Amino acid sequence: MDGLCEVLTLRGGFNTNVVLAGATLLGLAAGVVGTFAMLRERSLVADALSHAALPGVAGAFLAASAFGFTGRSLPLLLLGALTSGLLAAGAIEALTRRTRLAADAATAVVLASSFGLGTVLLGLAQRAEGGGQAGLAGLVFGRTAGMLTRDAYLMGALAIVALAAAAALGRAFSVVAFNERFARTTGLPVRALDTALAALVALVTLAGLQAVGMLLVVALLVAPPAAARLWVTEVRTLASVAGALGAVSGFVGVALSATLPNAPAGAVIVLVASALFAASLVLSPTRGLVAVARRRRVLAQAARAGQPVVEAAP
Amino acid sequence: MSSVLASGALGQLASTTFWQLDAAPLAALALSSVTLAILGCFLVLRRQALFGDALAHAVLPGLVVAWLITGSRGPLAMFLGALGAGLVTSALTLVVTRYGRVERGAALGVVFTGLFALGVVLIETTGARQVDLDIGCVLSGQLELLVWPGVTSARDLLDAATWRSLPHSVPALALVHVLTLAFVLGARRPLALAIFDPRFARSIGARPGVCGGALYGLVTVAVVASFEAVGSILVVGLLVTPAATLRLAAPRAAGNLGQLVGGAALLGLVTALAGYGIAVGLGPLAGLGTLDAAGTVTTLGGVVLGVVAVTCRVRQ
Repeated sequence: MDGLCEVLTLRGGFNTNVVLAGATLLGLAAGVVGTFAMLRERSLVADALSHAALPGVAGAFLAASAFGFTGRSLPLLLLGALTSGLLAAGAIEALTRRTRLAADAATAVVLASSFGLGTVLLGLAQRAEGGGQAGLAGLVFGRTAGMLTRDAYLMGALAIVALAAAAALGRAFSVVAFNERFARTTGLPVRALDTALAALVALVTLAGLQAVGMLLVVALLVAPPAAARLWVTEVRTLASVAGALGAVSGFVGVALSATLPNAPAGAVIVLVASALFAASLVLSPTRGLVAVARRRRVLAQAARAGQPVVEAAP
Repeated sequence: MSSVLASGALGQLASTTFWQLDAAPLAALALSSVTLAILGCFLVLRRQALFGDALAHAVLPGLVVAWLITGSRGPLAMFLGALGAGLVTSALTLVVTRYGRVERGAALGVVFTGLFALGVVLIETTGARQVDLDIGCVLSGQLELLVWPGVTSARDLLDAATWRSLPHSVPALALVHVLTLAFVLGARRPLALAIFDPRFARSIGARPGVCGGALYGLVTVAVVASFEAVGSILVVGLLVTPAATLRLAAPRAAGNLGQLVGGAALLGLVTALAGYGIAVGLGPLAGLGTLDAAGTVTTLGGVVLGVVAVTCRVRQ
């Protein structure tokens, strides 16, 4: 417990503080970007993007090996992940926009086939050279041990970029999300904005790649906005609250995992975010389970007493 | 592994390696592809196409808890643990969608990522890591591990002893397959009502919630049974791709529930068998060695859907 207080009050040492800052920034950026993704009903695009990283990573490794370079270069692998992630996002956009498939079906199809391609390429990479490919899959599934300062710097830098872009484009994003036709008639480039949003989601996913794990970073994009939505409605407030909840998840999650033995940081961060969502679902004064139950009881009593029943809009 | 396509399918039927190495994976693939393609039609229609992917991650804590309780990694304990976690996922998603008023995708996302993270933390903190219970064992396919040692030729199939060494997931998948066919054929009218017009269903005294719940229960059983045999990524692909492809290729036929289900089952079966053929037949021919069969099948499904999407758009 003393250890936890120490970490929470930033007395855990320089490296711990760097990791804390990186995770907090990532949570903040994920909460803000995730809000716009949720409003546009594209929450699970991040899920597809994270799966689509596998063929990118394995493909970049194979290509580099084929040209005689070492396949283990991290920037190269990340570039591969980013490329395949953006291709997947483009495929989902095209399928949703131009065919009769709904967004969920398009996402699921792209997710499954790109991950399938990834396993095929990974199998080839594992056979291609002895040892060189070790850890390729770990790059996608995340480090389960502690976070490194190197991860934290990368995470923080990418998060700041994503945050700045979201702040600049936030207004346009929400116009497109709430009224696409209006956005089009006022001359907003809807398609470009959707692409930009997908790129931001990809950036956040990539930032969480090594430290949190690609499958878990999805949670940071989804849970804080969903929790914030239970408390507030106005878009700007929503994005701020979601960002704050994400930041708290990152901060508390890292602090907890630094003090608990064997607890992987990424998973603990996600558990904190999920706990915040669960608490919001129960306790929110307007939409929470407790509030809904109480309102029902009041209405039932009124109905039994023969009074006119007027339900206040939540 | 021997190749089915390389030296002719008929010649292969006589070979021992085909029976021992390819027969059980092919049977598992055929059974699960048809079952999942049928159930996937309903998920696509209900806009819950990502349910399979959510289950693939959400079963992790169930596996760890089952191991903690029983102390075994046996197939029955793992199946029950996964099934429990799957049912919890369905129920939680329902609660979050109804009361949280969040978009369905986001509700599913919150639930399955939270459960997955719980599983990861449980693995690391309870010592499950030491017994080789890791994330990989739910995420990667095991199709290549379905070896049938007791069979050497087609004649052995008449011998009861041969069947005893059949990998247990094949009869399990067969059972789920029969259950699915019985449910979908037996309850086709209430199912169609529950999916297309739940309000009307309620107004004539039917209980669409019960029917939908039974459907999700069956999907959970089928998906969990298939994970072990064919791997989770293949399950996600087999569930959604056939129904989605059919909706693109033949929108009119796909509007008819019976034709959609039948067509998806056929398409799923053909894709699965062709993908397996490519993995073990064309892979070695192209000098790549045998490919990962689960990956090849899902990739093939995606490629077919992509081609259909492009050509159908041109035709319009």
